[in-house]
Amino acid sequence: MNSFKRILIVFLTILLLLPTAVGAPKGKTEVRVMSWWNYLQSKPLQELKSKFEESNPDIELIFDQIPSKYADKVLTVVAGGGDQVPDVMMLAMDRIPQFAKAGAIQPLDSFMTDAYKKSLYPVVFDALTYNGKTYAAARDITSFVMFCNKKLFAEAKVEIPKDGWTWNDFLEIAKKLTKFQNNKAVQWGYYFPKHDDAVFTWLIQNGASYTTPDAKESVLSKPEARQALQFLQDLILKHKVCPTETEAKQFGTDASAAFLAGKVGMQAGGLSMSVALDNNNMDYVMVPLPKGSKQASTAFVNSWTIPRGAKNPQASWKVIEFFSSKEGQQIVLDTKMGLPASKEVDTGAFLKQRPDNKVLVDALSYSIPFQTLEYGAKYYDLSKKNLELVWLGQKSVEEATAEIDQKAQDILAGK
Amino acid sequence: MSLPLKISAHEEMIGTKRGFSLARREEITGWLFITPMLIGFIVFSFGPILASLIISFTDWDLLQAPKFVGFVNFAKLFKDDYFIQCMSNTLYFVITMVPIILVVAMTLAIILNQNIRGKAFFRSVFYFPSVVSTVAISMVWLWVFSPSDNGLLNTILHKIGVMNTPDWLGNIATVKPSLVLMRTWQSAGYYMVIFLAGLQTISPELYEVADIDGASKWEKLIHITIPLLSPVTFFVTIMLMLAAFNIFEAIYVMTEGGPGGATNTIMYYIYHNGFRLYQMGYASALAWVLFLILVVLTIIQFKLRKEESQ
Amino acid sequence: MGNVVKKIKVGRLLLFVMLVAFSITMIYPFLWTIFASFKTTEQLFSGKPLDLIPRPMRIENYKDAWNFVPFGRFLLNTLFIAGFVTLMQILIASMAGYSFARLNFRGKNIVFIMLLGTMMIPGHVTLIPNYVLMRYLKWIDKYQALMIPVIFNSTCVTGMFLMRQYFLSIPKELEEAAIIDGCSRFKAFWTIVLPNTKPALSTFAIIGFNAGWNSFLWPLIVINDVKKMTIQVGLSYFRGVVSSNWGVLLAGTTMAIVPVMIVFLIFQKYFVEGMVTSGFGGK
Repeated sequence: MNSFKRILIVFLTILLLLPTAVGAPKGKTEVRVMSWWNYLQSKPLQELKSKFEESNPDIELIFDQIPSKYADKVLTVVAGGGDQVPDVMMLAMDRIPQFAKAGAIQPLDSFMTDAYKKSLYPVVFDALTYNGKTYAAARDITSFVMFCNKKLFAEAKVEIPKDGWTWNDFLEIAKKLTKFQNNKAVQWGYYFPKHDDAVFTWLIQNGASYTTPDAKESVLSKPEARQALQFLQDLILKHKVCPTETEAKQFGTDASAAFLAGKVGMQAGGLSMSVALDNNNMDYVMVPLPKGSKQASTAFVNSWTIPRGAKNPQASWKVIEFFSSKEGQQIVLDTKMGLPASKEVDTGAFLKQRPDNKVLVDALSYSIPFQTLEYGAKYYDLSKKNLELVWLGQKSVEEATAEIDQKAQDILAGK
Repeated sequence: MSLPLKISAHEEMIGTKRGFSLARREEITGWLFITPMLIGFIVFSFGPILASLIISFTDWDLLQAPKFVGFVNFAKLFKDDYFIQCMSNTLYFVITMVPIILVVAMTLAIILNQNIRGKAFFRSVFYFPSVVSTVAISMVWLWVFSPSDNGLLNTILHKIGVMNTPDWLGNIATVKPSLVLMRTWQSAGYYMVIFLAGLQTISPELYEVADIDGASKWEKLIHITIPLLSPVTFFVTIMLMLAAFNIFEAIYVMTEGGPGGATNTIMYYIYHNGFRLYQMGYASALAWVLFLILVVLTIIQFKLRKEESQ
Repeated sequence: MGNVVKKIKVGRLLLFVMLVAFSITMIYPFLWTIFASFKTTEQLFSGKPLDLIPRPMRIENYKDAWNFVPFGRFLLNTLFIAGFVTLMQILIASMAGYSFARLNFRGKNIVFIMLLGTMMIPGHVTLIPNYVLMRYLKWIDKYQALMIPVIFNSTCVTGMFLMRQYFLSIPKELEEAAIIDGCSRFKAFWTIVLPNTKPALSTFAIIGFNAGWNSFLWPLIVINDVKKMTIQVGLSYFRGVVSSNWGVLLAGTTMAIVPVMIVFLIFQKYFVEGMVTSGFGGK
């Protein structure tokens, strides 16, 4: 037993050392890019990689994925330090203030040229700045439109909605698309993931918002906001045209899983949602969002950042510069990752691809950018938890919004 | 009597050569043998407990330097609605899981301690789920509890005529009982085996004597088995209590603290605060309060037991 | 008299039937998972879960699972890490257990109770400080974080206790004789005592390895690199990657369960009977 144990220990020690031996440098600079997409299923990422490596043969791009709870997990990675800190990190605009404040991402002003800054849409540029410094480069901009499952519409003999349709029209259509069996819904008219930006889309259509423009006060108790939230709650509980989270999640953890499974007739989303739909050969059409008190959509900017602790910021910037350049943004548009953040990109070919692509571009013109707040992480955590009770019917809209506004006072003041 | 003399003379010889007495050598050896374990626990267990207390007095998000804030975290804790929510949720699990699993496990052990055909098979089968990881089991039970007709539980209930089945994991009223059901299914077998071990220590003569006295099965159970199992019962109660406080994986995979915070337990809340909101100080304060509660509960249990045995 | 016998027989039969029913509920979910891992997504959502047979049979689920995420890597990682940790625990805990059983030294009882006391400490108290320590040592995302701190957990203490009980129950004459003849205590321990504790060691090994195989929270927070993930964390990560492809997810789940099933079937007696007969129950 003595010698057996010895052999075992030696064996295990060798295997311990093995992983560290593998991964020896190959001569190329490796740049690791972290995102929430799966590289193997993402044509946009594949295109970006091949075009970048063509003009930069000494750099190899490796794509890693954090599939869910991205912002929290990636912050853990950066906070943990060590080898796993990526060189380039995708980041949603609502996280930029939090990450910048904590020092988790590096300012990029020293890398960016004025010409670059001027080529961006103003709304994009604002989203990338915090405290006067630029912390991110634009990945793309997304406007929200309504995706309609043509097959389900045809089955229910409902016409595809046209520009200018109202909330009432929307509700009627959703009801027609909802099917019941044994008193349980097996198909729903509409689904929205309970993220802050999805809810925001409906708030702004009614002229409401989460906070005042200076982000000092939470204004969800205003009548316009309450109306919008009540409308959403009714969709789930009163009219039952929208599934609960558990009902939707049984088809998958992705926000668009239920839609992909053909169980939901309509869902609001951005251009990148169409990538998954195309992969699954879904027959869909995009229409503008319905009109509340006004026609509005949300513009959401996703970005690329260089995290603190990146081993080679110069190489990281090269990659980011390409991704957000005219050429990179053209690829972004052509592969449907999102709409280009740069004014210089040619949308002609994109518009020719599908007639309803025009809807996406048009929506940009009446889009209101998503509100990013300095204390956004805590604020949206508070609002999400309270609104969750609304979606479950455990709290009334009045109660929940009053509580959010009240508790938000301290949070937005930084306490 | 010559042997001890022989030893001590021999040892004395060697001992005096090296200047150590027998007792001293034994002391050193004793300490040496426990040193690896002791050092490891000091570094990774005792030290961290202390460190946790220190961190709880700071405001720290891991990325910036920690800021000393005194008792602010503890004050915040008692005003935190979510803390009260997660304590009551955790309490629910403790109050339900401990007695239920205890009774189920003890019953199964007593049954399978008799001469039943295939008892080794049954023992293994009941024990098996406790061997599989909670993460894997949670994935499976997501299907058991799935709403609509895709769920195993719903389908079975529909077949026996129960049509109005709730959304087990999505309904605030049913989510906790569902988790209790799942955990009972998974871990009853583990505790059953512990009870089986305890049953082996009861001498069969006691039963024979009782038989002679004409005791019924029930009387034997109440007057012999259960009292003699009480050390094991005590042990299992404490283990179950700890397990109930530690519930995490099932919640992480199946409900994420929801719906509406109904399964937000203390462990999940600490994880959420520490590794999602990056409030290391607050999370540590939560952990320490929990620790103190557990210490108090355990001391109460020990005291009750002392009284009982007297 | 015959009536009583009949009653007992019927009672026994009922009991047996109940036990069989219970066994079915224990086994069925696993059986279902294995069958379902070959189903297509359409069939899974068709509303007839009790229809066990996959039609059509989709073996690609396993191929996909293997490709989406390095399952082989997960299994290998977990095997070596759990193996290493268990080995170290056996060594360290049995040494300590022996010391507490055989040797006398000042402070022995205090240390013993302190170590036992760590079993009462819930994992959350040490979670954050240990994470901070890993960060400081730069062990985040390295195998060391998964292998070293984990050794000193409640399984180690349980094992130490187990070994101590066992040592107390075997006669000390054999090793005492060797020591009289000039053998060092350690050599005696290693060559004489340990080999005689095979039953306790086997139980310890099996239970320790199982605990290591199933660990989740600690690997979750210290490992971000997919290549270093252990099987349970990998499975959870896998769920995010796969999202709506439940057939593939169930294939992955099956791959996480089946090795355990096989080990259990082979070493059944160590799991169950080992715990029962090694006197583990009393305290």
